[in-house]
Amino acid sequence: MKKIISFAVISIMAVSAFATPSAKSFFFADSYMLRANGVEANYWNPAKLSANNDSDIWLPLGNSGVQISNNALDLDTYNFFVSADTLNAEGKERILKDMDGSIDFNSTANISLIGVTMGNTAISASGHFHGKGMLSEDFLRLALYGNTEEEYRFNKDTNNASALSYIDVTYGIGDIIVPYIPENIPQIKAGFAASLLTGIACVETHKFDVLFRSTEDEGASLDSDIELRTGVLGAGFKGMLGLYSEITPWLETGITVDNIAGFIKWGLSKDIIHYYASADSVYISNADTDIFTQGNERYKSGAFTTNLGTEMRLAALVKHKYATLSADWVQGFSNTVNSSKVGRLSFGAGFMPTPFLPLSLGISLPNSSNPLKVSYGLGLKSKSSEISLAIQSYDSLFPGYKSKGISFGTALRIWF
Amino acid sequence: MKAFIVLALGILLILVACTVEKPSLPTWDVDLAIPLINEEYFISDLVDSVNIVIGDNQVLHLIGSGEVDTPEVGTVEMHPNLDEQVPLISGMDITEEIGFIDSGGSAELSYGKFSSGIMRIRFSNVVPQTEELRITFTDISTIDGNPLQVTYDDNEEWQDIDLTGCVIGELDSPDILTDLEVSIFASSSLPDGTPLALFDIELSGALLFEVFQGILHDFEIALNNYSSSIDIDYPSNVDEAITLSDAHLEIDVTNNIGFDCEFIGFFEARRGDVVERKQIVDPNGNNYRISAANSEGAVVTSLIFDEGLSRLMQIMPESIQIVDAMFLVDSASGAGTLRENDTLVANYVLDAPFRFTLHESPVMVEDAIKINISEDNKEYISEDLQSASLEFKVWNKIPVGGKVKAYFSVDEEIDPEDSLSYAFYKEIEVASAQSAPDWQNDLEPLVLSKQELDFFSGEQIYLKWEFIFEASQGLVEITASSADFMAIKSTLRGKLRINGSEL
Repeated sequence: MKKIISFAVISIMAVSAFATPSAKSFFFADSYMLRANGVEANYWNPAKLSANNDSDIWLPLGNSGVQISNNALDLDTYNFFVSADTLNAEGKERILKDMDGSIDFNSTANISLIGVTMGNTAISASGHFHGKGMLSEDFLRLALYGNTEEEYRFNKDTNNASALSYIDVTYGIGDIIVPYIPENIPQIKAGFAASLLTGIACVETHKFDVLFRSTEDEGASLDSDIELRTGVLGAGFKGMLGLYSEITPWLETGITVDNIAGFIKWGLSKDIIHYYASADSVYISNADTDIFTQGNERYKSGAFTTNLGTEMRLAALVKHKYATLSADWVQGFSNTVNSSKVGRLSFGAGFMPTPFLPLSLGISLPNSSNPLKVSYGLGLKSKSSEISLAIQSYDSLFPGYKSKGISFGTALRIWF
Repeated sequence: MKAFIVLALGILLILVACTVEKPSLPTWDVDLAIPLINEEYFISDLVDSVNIVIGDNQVLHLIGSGEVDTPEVGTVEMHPNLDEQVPLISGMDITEEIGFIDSGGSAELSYGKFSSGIMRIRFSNVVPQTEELRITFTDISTIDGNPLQVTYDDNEEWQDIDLTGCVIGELDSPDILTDLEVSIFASSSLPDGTPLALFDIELSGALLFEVFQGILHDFEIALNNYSSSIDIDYPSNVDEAITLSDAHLEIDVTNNIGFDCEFIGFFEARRGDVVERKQIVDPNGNNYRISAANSEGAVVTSLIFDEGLSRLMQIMPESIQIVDAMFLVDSASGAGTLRENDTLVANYVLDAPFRFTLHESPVMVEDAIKINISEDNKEYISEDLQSASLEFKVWNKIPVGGKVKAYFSVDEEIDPEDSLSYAFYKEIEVASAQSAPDWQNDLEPLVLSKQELDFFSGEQIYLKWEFIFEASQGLVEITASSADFMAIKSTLRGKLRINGSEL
């Protein structure tokens, strides 16, 4: 396990574009909207907060998850890279072969702090860390092969890093029957949740423009202009609306809109760190002259806001005595720290071979922005509690050497 | 419960079975292309305005120049050897002439100012009735401008009359003074015609003139010897690789003396022990004549001399000088004026245009260059750099091409003929402008293997250049216009080793 964590530390960079609201979603590869009950419904669909359900409490650290992944390197390739004595052309290509323009790193951590339901309301608090980063393939080719091209241009689209950590305090209310629904249409319940967000720290790439040219006629030139924006302590808000309907005793559907008016405004410390370097028409023959300018500066920035992109989620859940099947479609409306305009589809399955041993399986289908994610989970359930453990593999059916990332989730529910 | 444990153990087993290696970097090689140089080297940059200048039609010239002068010519010396006795007779009031001719025949005076000279006179056998004896030298004036006059004052001993400061003759007179005019007056109480005394005059010593007008015969004025260096580091054997076409010497003689004169001398070029000498004569083989100063002052005479000079310059001299030289005032010079402080100055310019024939003969830069590489860079070269290649493009607009060889050695003494005296050499061949008028893109790159690169991490590294010119078809001429340059573009391509390390 320590080795896995060390792998995570190496890979860690900034935010997941598909931040998971709570750790239990790892059990079903994110197909979790209609499965969330109790305190978790605060984050997934507050419409499901119901006075008819048992009261549910969260304990600190009981529901936590961590995820790290990248788009190009599986564990096998990583091991090959770090254990090889020398890297030949074949080895270099092995590292680069799965990069589609860039290598992307993602990491997420969610930690439950406290939570309780009271009838059809819930209040909860949890901590979140999101990180992601991108490094263009050209950058790695430059590092592995040298400057075989005349010009290298790097910009923020494929070279960036950002990280965000915050704590939410969320209050949700649900089980509100939507009025004026014709009787021949199944009842629809609504709910909403409001989260007060306390930003702990954030860093994001504000500007990334690097141009390196090396030609016989013009010499070597470098123009590098990189700005990181940092913020410490901020305050924000986000809202969630959810609808839910039990169409039949075995079929549920739901829709949520999350991160409504979501933002964190950074207030205490707002800095921009500027790194710059430039050199123009450099030839070795004149390299003894003062031709290279470099430095960094830090200056105060105006207040800035990290926007949390609005996401819509559609879900369906089929229930059976011994099994459940679910499908979730998530569509963001903007590319932000926590949302993506590329939609994703995931499926989840839960099994109850015995009343006390719930098993879970999830799969999130790959697309241009998201890797294949496959989850496996199992739990131990009693009349008033459940403890569960899940693992999620990226770009591989099973966690192992071909995985390009891994997630772990733990869940502890107590109800009465 | 049992099943749960089995499944949990199963998942843990999968995870534990995955080995995650300790982070470290492997070693790999990257290819770097670093622009090395992109420069245009203009011929005009060679011009130092001293030894290399631009001449007519933008042709480059190798110039050596210098100045020689004479010491001050000093006094002109005459030896009249005058010894006359004149009887003085009562009632005498006459004018006589006493011969005044240089006994050596080297000078004929028309006017002179004495720098020094002693005239000896004596009155003797003077009878007591003598009242006055007075001798006046009409041609000699004292410092105060009066004619030199001597009178009897009861002294019958020899008397020395110091002529210093006196002048003789008439200034700017065209007539040569061959006799001294002497007025004699004698009176007494005795009847006229009675002998009263004897008067003796002697000019036996040298008479020195600080100003001399007249004619000089074979009066020599020697030149001081000064050599002039040509500050150019010629490579060895360059004299074998280049045959100079022509060279000429111009000597401007500034003559302050009022005589024209003959210039006699040699022009000498030296390079180490090699000495080439050429007599400076006109195309007819005669010595040049220098015009006299005139009433307005010094006159400059230009002597143009080119016969055989290219042979002197062919040795690529380090110094040049005019030697064994003098000015000779002779009979052909005619009448003139010479002052004690007069001098002659000769400014000379040796001019060899860069017009030559090239031969395919190796030319070696004299001294090996010591290459200093810092310890950091040595380590960098030794450990990180695996190979290097210098790629060149050259646009040569100069009518000179050839091979350039760089010899590398740990020893300062590098002999291309002795392969044991150097570690390795690299060469590049650049065609002349005639052979390749456009960019030469297909030059062989200079490739350095790892073994050759490791040489540069040694303690001492010496480099010696050798050039082998492309033989020219006839004469080539080096001009220094804005279109005469060699443009070089070069890229260093190296294979750099990124050494692995633990993270």
